[in-house]
Amino acid sequence: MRFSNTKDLGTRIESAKAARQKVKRRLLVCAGTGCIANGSLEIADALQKELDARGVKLNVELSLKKTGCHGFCEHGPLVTFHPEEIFYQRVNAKDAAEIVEKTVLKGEVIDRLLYTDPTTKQKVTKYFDIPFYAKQQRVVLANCGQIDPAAIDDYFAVGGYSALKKVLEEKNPEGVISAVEEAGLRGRGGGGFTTGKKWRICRGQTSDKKYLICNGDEGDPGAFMDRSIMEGDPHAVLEGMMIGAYAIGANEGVIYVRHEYPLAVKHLEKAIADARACGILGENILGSNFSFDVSISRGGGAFVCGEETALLNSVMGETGEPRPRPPYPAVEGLWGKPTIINNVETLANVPTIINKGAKWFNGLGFKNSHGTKVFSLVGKVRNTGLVEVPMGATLRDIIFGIGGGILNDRPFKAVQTGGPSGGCIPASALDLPIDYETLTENGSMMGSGGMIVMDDRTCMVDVAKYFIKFLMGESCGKCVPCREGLRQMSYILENITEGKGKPEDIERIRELSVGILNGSLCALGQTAVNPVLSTLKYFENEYHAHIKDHKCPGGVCKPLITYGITDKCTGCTVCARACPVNCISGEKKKLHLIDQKKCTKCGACFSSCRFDAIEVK
Amino acid sequence: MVTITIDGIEYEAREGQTVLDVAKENNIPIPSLCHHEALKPWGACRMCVVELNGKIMASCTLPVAKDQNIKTKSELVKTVRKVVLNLLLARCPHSKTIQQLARLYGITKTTLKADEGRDNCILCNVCTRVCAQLGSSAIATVKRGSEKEIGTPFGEKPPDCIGCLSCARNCPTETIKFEETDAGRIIWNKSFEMAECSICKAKTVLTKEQVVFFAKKSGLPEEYFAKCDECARKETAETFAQLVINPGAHIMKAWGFTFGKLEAKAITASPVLPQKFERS
Ligand SMILES: Cc1cc2nc3c(=O)[nH]c(=O)nc-3n(C[C@H](O)[C@H](O)[C@H](O)COP(=O)(O)O)c2cc1C
Ligand code: SF4
Ligand code: SF4
Ligand code: SF4
Ligand code: SF4
Ligand code: FES
Repeated sequence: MRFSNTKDLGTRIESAKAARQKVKRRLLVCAGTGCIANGSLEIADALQKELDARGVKLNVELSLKKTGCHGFCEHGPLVTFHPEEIFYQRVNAKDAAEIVEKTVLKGEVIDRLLYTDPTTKQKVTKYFDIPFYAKQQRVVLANCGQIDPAAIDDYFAVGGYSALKKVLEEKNPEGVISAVEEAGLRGRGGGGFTTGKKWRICRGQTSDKKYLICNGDEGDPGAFMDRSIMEGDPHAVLEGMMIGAYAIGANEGVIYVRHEYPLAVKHLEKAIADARACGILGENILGSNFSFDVSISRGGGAFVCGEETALLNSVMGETGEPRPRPPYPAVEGLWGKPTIINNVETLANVPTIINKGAKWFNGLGFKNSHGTKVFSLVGKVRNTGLVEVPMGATLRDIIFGIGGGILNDRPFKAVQTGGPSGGCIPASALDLPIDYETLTENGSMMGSGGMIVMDDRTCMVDVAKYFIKFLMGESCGKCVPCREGLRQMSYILENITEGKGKPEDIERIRELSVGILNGSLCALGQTAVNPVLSTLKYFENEYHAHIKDHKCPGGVCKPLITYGITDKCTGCTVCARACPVNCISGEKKKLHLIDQKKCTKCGACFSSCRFDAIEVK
Repeated sequence: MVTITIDGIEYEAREGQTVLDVAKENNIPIPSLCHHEALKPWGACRMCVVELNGKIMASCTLPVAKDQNIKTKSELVKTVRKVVLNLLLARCPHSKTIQQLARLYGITKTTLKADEGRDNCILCNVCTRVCAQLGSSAIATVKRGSEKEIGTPFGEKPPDCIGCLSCARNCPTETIKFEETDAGRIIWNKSFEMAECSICKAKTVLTKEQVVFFAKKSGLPEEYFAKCDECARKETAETFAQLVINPGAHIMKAWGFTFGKLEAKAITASPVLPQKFERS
């Protein structure tokens, strides 16, 4: 099937939609990286067998599909049944027969496989009744988990490529740029630069060749929003790229994908091949003058290679080190030609903007931040996973509404947003709206959307040290402030957490920060001090506690803490048995005692006690 | 031509120049370590920072633009430069170049943890870039981040090194060690013999590898290059004129081919300590 014009494509989109309407009953198995790792492919096979055995006619009575990630991987493997929206979690291949027998054939719900809300302890049947999903607004992730990413027809069936069709039929490149500008779309990869403006700069360059690069490097540890989009809805990324390329006048595109993402690569490759076969990608797209093709480049895995100029060098086979700017890539990028680099999520927003209109998108959000943002919620929160909310939602909405609050009902202490070089925001800021400017004003950043929740048992100096060390390890080492500065910063923080800090260290940290923040060549160094500066801003007393009182208020830094047993002790002897160095003494049913001289502060007793009788000081 | 303002004074600048170029032309003191006149801007040492609209930028990579208002002496500029020097002094406390520069900013001792037992390399990459520009690319940086260092392939004697010494002679901190005798040289653990003069058989100032390399790059016979000072001097100015218009001319120029004398040092060493400098 090769469409020679946009009308043919339109016909196909309509017929795919009609086919989806006809078979409304859908059994969907999540085949994202997380669920596959937990055996979801075997579940899909088992379901297929069971359905065949019972003579259910696939694609007539019911469709069985493997979809992309739902973002709730912790509860995987997930199986959902539509249109009833029944949500099964932690499914096993052995459950297949029962699912087919009861749910598919009789419409019964299997209680055992339902999700239990950790807050209310109630079972929840339907997808959108689960608080984790109920409070989200899925725009970019709308198709993830709902369609088979390997089937272009599935994408057509949800209106896929109708934005491309619309653009080719109704808009000139300037019109596209205006729409994206009017929508107020800003980059989701870090800087938050206005996408339309960036495109316009590139469009204004005269050159025989221009490139559009999709940045799928996603180096933030623990983040997987871009992976989920590339895996679960690859055509949306492609369609966004095509529209962007049409706008700036590029005829070649590159998707830079991190090498740890084999499934994303597989799905993107399939999408590219299918789009080419349809005449949607390649020479004279849908019979127009617009030609554009896409290739995949696999990243080496260094965090800094996600930085756009380092990425350019990496694609060109050079060392992945940032380049000085100016010249900006929009003027002089890949192979010296004008190049636009956009994040996966940024591009995946573009078709929606064209389809639903700039006004609709602009209406969503807060102040100068529009649309939605996907966050990767992790840490000490009940529900972890990918969450998508409109810009302007509060941190409380996400952490307590969607995330279900802090694990074990401990007090919330801080949340780090924006990835490893984001800042830590305290409880007093929980009700602030999440938008680019507010986060920056509060010492953090939107970044790519990492979100790590911390409870009261977190040491903020230790957190700062952890991220500085991470960034030090990821620094490319080209410029002095970042390479040498982060190393020195980590020595100082190391000392403080070991109780060897000096009062003047605080001043030293501040001074170093000014140098690193202002002097570094690229944004890695320029933002690297955020974790330190923000913890100093909101938790300076913890630094002083370490330095002056030799105490770690979070109870984390080993050289500064002692474990003790309080009178809550019931004498159950569990701790004594857990202690690897046998330094807990006490008789059964009597108060136990720790020999501080022998204690190695391993914390085994602390985690073993069921009566909360062991305290850290 | 564009007009830019530096510290309140207007200067004429040519399109394509950097702010550092303009400053140097006008004797405005901006310290620089990784900048090298013969090489493309690198922007790594961050010594040359200036302030533009409240933002710190490296002047060596900042192209001039109309109505730019540059500050080279603001408090922020001084602070950043001091941090850089403090950091470099911690990295190589024994480097004369760094000590000297640091003193201009009132720093005599680093307030940070000083490394001992490390060489004086500041990772300006002048050596690797000079070597690459000359066409050998015999050395490179190895490892990443704070472990980065200058090295040879697999830590062995660099197969592509022709013993020209350009790396060592351009190193701002004189970190790269080499030995030189009339008969030969040792650099990067690799020994070189000096080529014999194709006319009188005396030793020339070029290694055998250099002669082969030049000949190959320029398409001229090796005898052209294998000449001692004396014999070379006898060559006519006319012969030289021919040389500089041949395809190898840029190589000749890079090595500072002067009448009859090949000198490896022509890419001038440039740890630039500004002449006049206010103490801060
Ligand atoms: C150290 C570092 C890592 C980065 N990693 C990524 C990344 O993994 N993905 C990404 O899209 N942008 C990343 N960025 C931001 C990019 O440089 C660039 O701003 C972005 O891709 C532009 O796209 P956008 O305008 O759509 O956000 C990184 C930046 C830095 C400084
Ligand atoms: S800031 Fe860090 S990562 Fe960026 S160029 Fe400098 S050393 Fe490399
Ligand atoms: S912290 Fe570890 S070593 Fe110390 S008492 Fe508890 S179990 Fe024993
Ligand atoms: S001596 Fe010359 S060829 Fe050898 S490493 Fe140094 S610059 Fe390169
Ligand atoms: S050896 Fe010298 S020239 Fe090479 S990077 Fe180090 S300081 Fe610079
Ligand atoms: S950064 Fe400009 S001279 Fe080094």
